[in-house]
Amino acid sequence: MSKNRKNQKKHKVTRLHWNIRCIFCLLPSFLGIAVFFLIPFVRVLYYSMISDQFRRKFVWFDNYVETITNEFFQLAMKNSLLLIVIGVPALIFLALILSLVLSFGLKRLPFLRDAFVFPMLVPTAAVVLVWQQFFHGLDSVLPVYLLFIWKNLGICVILLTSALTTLDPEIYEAAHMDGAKSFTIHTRLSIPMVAPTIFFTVLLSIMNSFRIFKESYLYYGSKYPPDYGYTLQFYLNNNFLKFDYQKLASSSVLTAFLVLILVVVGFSLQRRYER
Amino acid sequence: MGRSGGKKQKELRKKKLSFFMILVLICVAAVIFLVPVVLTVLRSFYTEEKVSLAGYQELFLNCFPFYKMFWNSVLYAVTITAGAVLIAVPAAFAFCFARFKGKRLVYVLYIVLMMMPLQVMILPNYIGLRDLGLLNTRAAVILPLIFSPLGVVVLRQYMDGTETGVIEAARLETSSCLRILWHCVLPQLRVCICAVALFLFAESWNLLEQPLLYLNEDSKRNLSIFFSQTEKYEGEVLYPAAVLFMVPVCLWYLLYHRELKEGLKYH
Repeated sequence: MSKNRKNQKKHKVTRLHWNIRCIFCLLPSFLGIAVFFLIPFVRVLYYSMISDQFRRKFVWFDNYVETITNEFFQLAMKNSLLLIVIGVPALIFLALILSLVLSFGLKRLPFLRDAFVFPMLVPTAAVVLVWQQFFHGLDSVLPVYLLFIWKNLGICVILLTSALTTLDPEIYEAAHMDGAKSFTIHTRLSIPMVAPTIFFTVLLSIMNSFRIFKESYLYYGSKYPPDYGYTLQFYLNNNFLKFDYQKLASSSVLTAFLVLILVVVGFSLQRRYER
Repeated sequence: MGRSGGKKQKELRKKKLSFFMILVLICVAAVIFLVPVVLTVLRSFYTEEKVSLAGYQELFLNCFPFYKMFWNSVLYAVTITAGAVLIAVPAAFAFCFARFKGKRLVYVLYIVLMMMPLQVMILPNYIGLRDLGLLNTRAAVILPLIFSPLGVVVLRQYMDGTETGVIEAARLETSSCLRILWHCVLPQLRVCICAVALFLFAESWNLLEQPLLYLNEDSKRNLSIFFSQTEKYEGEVLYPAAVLFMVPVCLWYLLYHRELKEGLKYH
């Protein structure tokens, strides 16, 4: 009895030791995140609610109101949302069709996938020259959208094909025996079964659409972009150069809030679907 | 009998035809996707309307900022990739095998941070770096990216799907986390680590915003900046520079493309 209890106690102690050691493994990463992301973000929250750097008068939400009513912020937001509404669905649609074809119809030609995966690694700056020359004189946002799709299709195709190839082939045999057409099989079987992955790629692409600054900055050059190419990052960049921390802080917090809502809604939708 | 055989043959022919249609379509799409890269390479050998190496010659002999910026790109990409993997592997391990209160909450925090676009984090990063006195040093670009949560989340997701029996068994033998990490976890994670490293290398090779905002001098900036200042350099230098800019990622891709396609998964 007492031996058993001793054993149990020993077990508990080693368990505790183990946990402490594991937490030491996590510590470097967590400290770094705290120093460079979390603690400064709290300060950004504070900055977004004071009048200016010197008097530091607490003004609650005045900076936010000013940011939301700023016409350049509105323009940037409009362009970002437009990319989410037009660019992201186009990207996902293309990625889905490609992944279905590559993992079912053309299963034996895996090297074809490389053509779509490779661009995600190519630095944007290296191909932007060709882009500029090819679309020279075209007064539209289309080239940047195409650059967005070109860069981001790879990761979507990787995620979707790796989800599609784990599906059980027996189900497909059964469906074929029942005489189902391949279009029906894929819309009724494949797509619903990889729905969680599709949700995730949509979320990821929305996040990546916020990163379009790099593409548009390189494409339009360091000068001021046309109205349709003006994204949030240009707005932030310009305020950065003016050292306007209050405007910068409030728009950062607003964007963070928007992203947080998207993430929470995305994941809860996914969870509800899985049930 | 004969009629049904003919029907079958007809169906087979139809199937073959649609297969070839799809194949051709996909091949065309693949070619379109590779055109920007191929055109850049071809254009680099083409100066003053004839095929020559003059662009390369001009770049190597007369364009000294290129060397400096190329070296900076290498430095940033290598240190960020190595540092991030070194920090992410133990952290992902801890998320998998430790039990402590608030673990879920911390993990959710990592996911939310991973999803945050760069433009949200640039001001906090800037403030953190300013307070540490690191602005306008190379560490300003390297340090925040080493701690990016992406690697941790991807590795943890992958680790969740691997065999844990070996690790449970090893825990009876030794209590050293590092030994377990080295002997039991790393071999299982090889594919995913390669994928994450390749991804991080490409991302940090493609870096633009951080050097632009945290550094004041071009001598510390990387190659992406070189291409954003196209008006400073002559046209014939740019295409050869772009080709050399692509070479390292191409080599990486040739070596590790299989790992990249297998290691990135979402469960």
